[in-house]
Amino acid sequence: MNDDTLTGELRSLGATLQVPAPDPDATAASVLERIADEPAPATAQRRPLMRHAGARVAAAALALLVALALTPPVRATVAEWFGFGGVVVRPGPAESSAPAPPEADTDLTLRTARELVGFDPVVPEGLGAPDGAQVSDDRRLLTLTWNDGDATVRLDEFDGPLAPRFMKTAVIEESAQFVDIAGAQALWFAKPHALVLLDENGQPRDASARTAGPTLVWQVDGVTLRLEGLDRRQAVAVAEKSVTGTG
Amino acid sequence: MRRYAAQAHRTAVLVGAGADADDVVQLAFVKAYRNMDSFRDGAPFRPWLLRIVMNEAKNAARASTRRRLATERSAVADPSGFSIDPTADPASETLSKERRAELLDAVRKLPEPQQRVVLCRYFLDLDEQETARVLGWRRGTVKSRLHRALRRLHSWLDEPSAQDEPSPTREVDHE
Repeated sequence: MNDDTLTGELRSLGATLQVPAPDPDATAASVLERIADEPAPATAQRRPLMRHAGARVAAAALALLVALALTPPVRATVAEWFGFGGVVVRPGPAESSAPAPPEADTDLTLRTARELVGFDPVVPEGLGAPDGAQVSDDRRLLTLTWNDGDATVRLDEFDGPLAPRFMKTAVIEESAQFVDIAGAQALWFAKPHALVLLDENGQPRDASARTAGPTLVWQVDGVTLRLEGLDRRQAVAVAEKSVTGTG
Repeated sequence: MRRYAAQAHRTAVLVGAGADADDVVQLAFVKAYRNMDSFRDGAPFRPWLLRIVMNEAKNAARASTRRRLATERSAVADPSGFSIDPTADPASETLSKERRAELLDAVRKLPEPQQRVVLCRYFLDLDEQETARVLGWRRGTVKSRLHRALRRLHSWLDEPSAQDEPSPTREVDHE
């Protein structure tokens, strides 16, 4: 069997898969409700879905609402539900300042670190070879650091559903903003913020809590990257190169 | 929004959101609305939106995977979300019911990244560039993972007993 036959068969199979779509008006109504809802208490859990059976929203009304600008606090509330590649954001105040991020072990080589983690590490161009590399005990978190004597840059990488997750305290649209990186989405935490690792049950591991400086979070090939220690312009430049695979 | 709702829902179901598919789609639309200003003018809207749907669906699928029995494989293309309509594809008369089941079964056994690229390219009809955007991968990665997926499907379909061998938990891309 050659490739063409198989791909043709896969397309045929795809064409036969029927997914019944829900009533678009009902979807529109639910979406509007979510957008218009009052701010929820600050938790990382999703709110229960509120459905009004039989609710109808005219397409024109929907278009009008979409055209209106929402006030930042409401937008922030809506966004608080979303983790981003394993980084959960919960609303809260910024910190006043942050120390330099902890450095990684300087004795572990990048090659050894690569062998230990279960995913393809991303080493962004533009930073040179890392000065330190570290892998967590469960081998799910890779940390690379660079220290030129003046400042420390720290890059955490993780992948997969069982990878450790970070929880950051910030307010989307205020201290944290979505940024476009060569067509992909990234999250820039502009201010110092509380950072803590979450265990498998989503509970904070208090021992890991610290204050992080401005950080950029994005993904390359499914691996989530957390870059701390550069300003926004520099961080975005590094991220852009890693996403486009050039530079 | 209505134009995209059906495809968003399809994406969510095929990625394995299951009963949460409606929720996933709504959350994705809200997020898309909120992030409109980060969306570059002139860039295609559909892949941008589907990427958000894909991420939300992945989260939902992972949450439900944790609840499943350990013996079951990933939620992708979980048959509980959709039905098969043989009349939908005019060329499908060449594809027997058994062959369809065999193919679907093999796809469900692929490692997650490979399942996703097959899903995008053949079940959602996205082209390579759109697939790269929706999955958030580089184009080279889309090509190589799709290639690997097809190789693997070939070998399984030529030798059905090979499907039961455990596959590596993670593949390394030598690019």
